[in-house]
Amino acid sequence: MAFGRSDMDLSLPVTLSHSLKHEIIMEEQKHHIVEYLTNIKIWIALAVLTILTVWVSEFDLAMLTVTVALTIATVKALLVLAYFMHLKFDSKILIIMVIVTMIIFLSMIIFTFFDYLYRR
Amino acid sequence: MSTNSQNTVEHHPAVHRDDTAKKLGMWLFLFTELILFGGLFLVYAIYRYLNPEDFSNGSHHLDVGIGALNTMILITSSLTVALSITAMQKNKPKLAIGLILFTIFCALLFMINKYFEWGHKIHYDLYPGTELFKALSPGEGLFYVLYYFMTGLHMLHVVVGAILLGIMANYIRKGMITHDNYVLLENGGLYWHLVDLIWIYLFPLLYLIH
Amino acid sequence: MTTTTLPNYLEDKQGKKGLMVWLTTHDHKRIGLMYLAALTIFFIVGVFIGILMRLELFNPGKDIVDPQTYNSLFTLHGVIMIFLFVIPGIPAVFGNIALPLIIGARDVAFPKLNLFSWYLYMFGAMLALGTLLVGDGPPDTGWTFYAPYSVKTGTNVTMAVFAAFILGFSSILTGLNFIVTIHRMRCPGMSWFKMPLFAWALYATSWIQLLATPVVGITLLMIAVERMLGIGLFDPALGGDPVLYQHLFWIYSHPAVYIMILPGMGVISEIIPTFSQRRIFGYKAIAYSSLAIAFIGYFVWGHHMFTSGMSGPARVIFSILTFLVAIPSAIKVFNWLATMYNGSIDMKPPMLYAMGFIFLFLIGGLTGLVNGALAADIHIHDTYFVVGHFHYVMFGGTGFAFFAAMHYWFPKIWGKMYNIKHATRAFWVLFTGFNILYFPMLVVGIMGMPRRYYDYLPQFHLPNQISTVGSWITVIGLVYMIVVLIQGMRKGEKAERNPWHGLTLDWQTDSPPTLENFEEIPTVNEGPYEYK
Repeated sequence: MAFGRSDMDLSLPVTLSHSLKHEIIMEEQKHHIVEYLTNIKIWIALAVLTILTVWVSEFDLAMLTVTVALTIATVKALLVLAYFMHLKFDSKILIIMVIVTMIIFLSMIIFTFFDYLYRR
Repeated sequence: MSTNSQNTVEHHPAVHRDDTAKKLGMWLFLFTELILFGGLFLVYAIYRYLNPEDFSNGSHHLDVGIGALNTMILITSSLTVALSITAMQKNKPKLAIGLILFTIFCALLFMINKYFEWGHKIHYDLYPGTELFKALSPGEGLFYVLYYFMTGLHMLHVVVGAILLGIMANYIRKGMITHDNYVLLENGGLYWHLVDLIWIYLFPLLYLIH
Repeated sequence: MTTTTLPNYLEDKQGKKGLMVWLTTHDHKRIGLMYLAALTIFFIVGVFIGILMRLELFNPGKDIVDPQTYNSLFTLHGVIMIFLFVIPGIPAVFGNIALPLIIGARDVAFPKLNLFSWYLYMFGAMLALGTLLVGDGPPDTGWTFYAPYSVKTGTNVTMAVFAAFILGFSSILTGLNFIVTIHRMRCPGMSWFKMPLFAWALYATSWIQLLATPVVGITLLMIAVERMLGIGLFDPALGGDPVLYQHLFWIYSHPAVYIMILPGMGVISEIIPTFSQRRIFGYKAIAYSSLAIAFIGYFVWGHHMFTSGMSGPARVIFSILTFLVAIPSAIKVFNWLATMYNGSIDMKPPMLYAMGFIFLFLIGGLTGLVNGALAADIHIHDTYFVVGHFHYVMFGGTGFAFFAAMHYWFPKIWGKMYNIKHATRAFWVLFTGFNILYFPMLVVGIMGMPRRYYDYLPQFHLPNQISTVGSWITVIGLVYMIVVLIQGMRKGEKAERNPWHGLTLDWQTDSPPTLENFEEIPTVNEGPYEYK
């Protein structure tokens, strides 16, 4: 029998399959529930931030335009990640993996800019 | 395991289930999607840096209203898919299915908006290959190329996500997703939230930075 | 352990017949063997193309092919060897076969996805080889597909990049599978730091497969779209920059070389302690160094672009980081040697290939540093010095590690043993031929001979002739090695369960294993190399 797989279909004598078949869940699944209201509050926050980012874009912030826009976007993204995608309530390992992925992605951009920023 | 006299194998019938593994697998796949789009974001960043005015001009030609509307549509669709998981956890499969169908409806609205948005530009000959396009300054041409490429690739993911959610709704209907076995729905939701996340960055970068 | 009357995995056909036993399997061992069968064929095709190239280079001027054909030859040689052999190589074959065994699991986390990865691999391979047969001929851009030529050339570039895209997907899914497997399916008692080092190597490799491959995926998609729609992303006339293509390409392709070498190092880390009958020296250092190489490896790609027009600061940063990434590799080499010191060395073929690896990888690694030095690189970029360097690391390194793994796990896979004497001789022929083939390249590269050139100046003639002769000896060695192994498969003597007296879990179960690997999932309570 395969640990960790509920999709393995080994042939069983038919007479035995009903009486003996049972499921073992690998661990106590922490059934953390994000309540309806919590989700709706997050949605409200996201809507407000969307309105905010559109409103801010009306002003000429010169050098800061990109920074402000990306900051607001990142706050929205963090809300989606933490609550809708349940990261806040999941294993810490997932959070570390998300962070490592973002570090690597951002480094790709930063290191490429080392080229373009300093070209004569 | 034991063998009987006919030397056939009788396996213990316990079926082990590992929801954490399935969820981890889905997150890992999401990382690849992030980096896939990330390559386009990198190209966008470099070319914006090299052509600030042209990108700003290009951005002015996009309709902030439609963009903002689409953002709200996707955010709402993320809400409803998150709510569907809560519903499933509280053993309300019919509500869950309803919420998923609403999510898919949001996806359709998004697609219709995109259709009009692209259609408008194509109607005015503003796409790669036309005389008008060739007459654009290079930076502005790049902006539109990236606009089509990034929103197009995103659109593809909207379609895939909607199909996945449709399949999940069907699984609930067939009892393959239940109130204590719903990791597949969570995974479908995760994919959908990724689609939302990408748009959360696409919207300001394409529509709002000018 | 009690002996069992259960069939082994090769005999256990699960009610299926003929090819369907293989094509619909979920068993990681069969999937690994399917990769092996396909890979061997592609490797042979790649070697054959290499032989043709070396024949053409025997003399200056035309020998057997015209220049256009020569360009396609080196392109396909690179595409086949890199995407169909070296990158998938050890993870797809030995990762699949051995990873569940060494961590005490019955299979990988997602067996069906594993089979799907194989089908993607085959589909991508068919597309890649199909470029030889259809349309306007095989690509002639070099395996790197640099813009602007890759956008303009009439050859089958679009098909080739789609092939690479599909193959990339296969690589990503394999990496995903292994990460989840290692996180979730280690047997009871096997904490992270009781895991064999091959598993650590595969773990680090899988993270590179997962996070780097999508970049080349989107980049190749850009090339395809640019060819089809003329969008101008890399065309200066339309505002684009061809150097940006190089950045995007190498952001993947440099980490890709660590996908190639890390699993090989993992194999060596298994073989050295077993054939020295000593605990590995510096287990944690080796484990961490795998992660360090994977991580730092993301930040050195610019060393492929020193002469491309990148800014000065960028060049300096990339060069420094390139030197930094050599350190963890050096740590491994020192630790392997320290493990062997005072050990009871058994010079069986796996150990020969492992020691061959250390010697050849050392040359490859050191020549890598020469390439990484900014001033030196001006002279040797795009010369045969680079060609010599990467063959030493990719073939002398990963290739020899692959052969080492073949000889190491052979009795586990087939339950038989090959002829040790002939395997040993084959090794020496191969090792000798290899150095005669590639060392002259280092010399002629410094003398100034450019790579990817159909023709060359008369002063480069002798080293080229020596190298070509070396290619013939290498091929003889390869053929000898393969024949020995096939004979072992067909007629080898029955092997005992643990012929190398290894302590890892793969050697504590039957040779060949049953379908489910272990009668009962083992529990471990000590590290994997506690030789007494």
